[in-house]
Amino acid sequence: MNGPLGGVPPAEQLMTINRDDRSGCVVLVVHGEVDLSTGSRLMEAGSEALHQAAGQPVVLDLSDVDFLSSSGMGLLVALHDEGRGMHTPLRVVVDEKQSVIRPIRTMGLDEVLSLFGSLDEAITA
Amino acid sequence: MSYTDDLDAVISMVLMADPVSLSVVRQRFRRWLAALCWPEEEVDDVVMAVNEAVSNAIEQIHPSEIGAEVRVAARQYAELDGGRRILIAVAGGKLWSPEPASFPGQGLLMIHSCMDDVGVSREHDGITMMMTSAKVPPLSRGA
Repeated sequence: MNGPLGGVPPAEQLMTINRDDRSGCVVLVVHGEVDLSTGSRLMEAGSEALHQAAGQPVVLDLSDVDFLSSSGMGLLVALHDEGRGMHTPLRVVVDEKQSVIRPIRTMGLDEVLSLFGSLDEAITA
Repeated sequence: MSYTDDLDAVISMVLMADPVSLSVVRQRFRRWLAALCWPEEEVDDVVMAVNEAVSNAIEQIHPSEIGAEVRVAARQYAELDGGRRILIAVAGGKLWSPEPASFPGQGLLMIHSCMDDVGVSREHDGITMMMTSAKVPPLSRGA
């Protein structure tokens, strides 16, 4: 159980990203916690997806994200802006029942990001 | 108050000033708050505030401070009406300046939205951010 960091879970386990493209959308399914230790990996994967999508929508499915820090929210806005500059829409999936919806609202991100309640809604939008 | 006799009412830890420490501090606070029967909807606010304060301390540690640490301590206390609060202290290095002007992100705004009171004190050995949680009902002590 104790790795070189003495029981600290590696960032790779804290957050995973799986690519699951469907119906003409590039889909990234994110599990776990987005914070200062994992955020840069999400930023990289999101940015790569936006470039590969070439105008197709990119869906960031955060349904299984159970923690989102302010640094994580900052990167969502950065990805959103990056996509807009490339005419590639970024759609973010967050369920109403998730705890991360509250900080998203607190920071006013619901006014900035294109939020969808489910992956299906985001794909068919 | 009787709470001060309760060993569970206090938690403290010393973390290496590295982003990998964040999941550790979040997990330990979640476990501690569960032991205190802290209302579930208030747990997220405490965990968020601690995460943001520690993140900021980590981000602003000067590169010259090799082996730097962030110290976190918290305690539950009761007010005269029995309502409970958590007081949290996050202490970073000498060069940490948790102030609005120096905040690169939205962390301080987030902390203020999650806490009833936030203050910064300067001691000779560094800077400490003090945060007081929202008040929650007294713990009903069963048999």
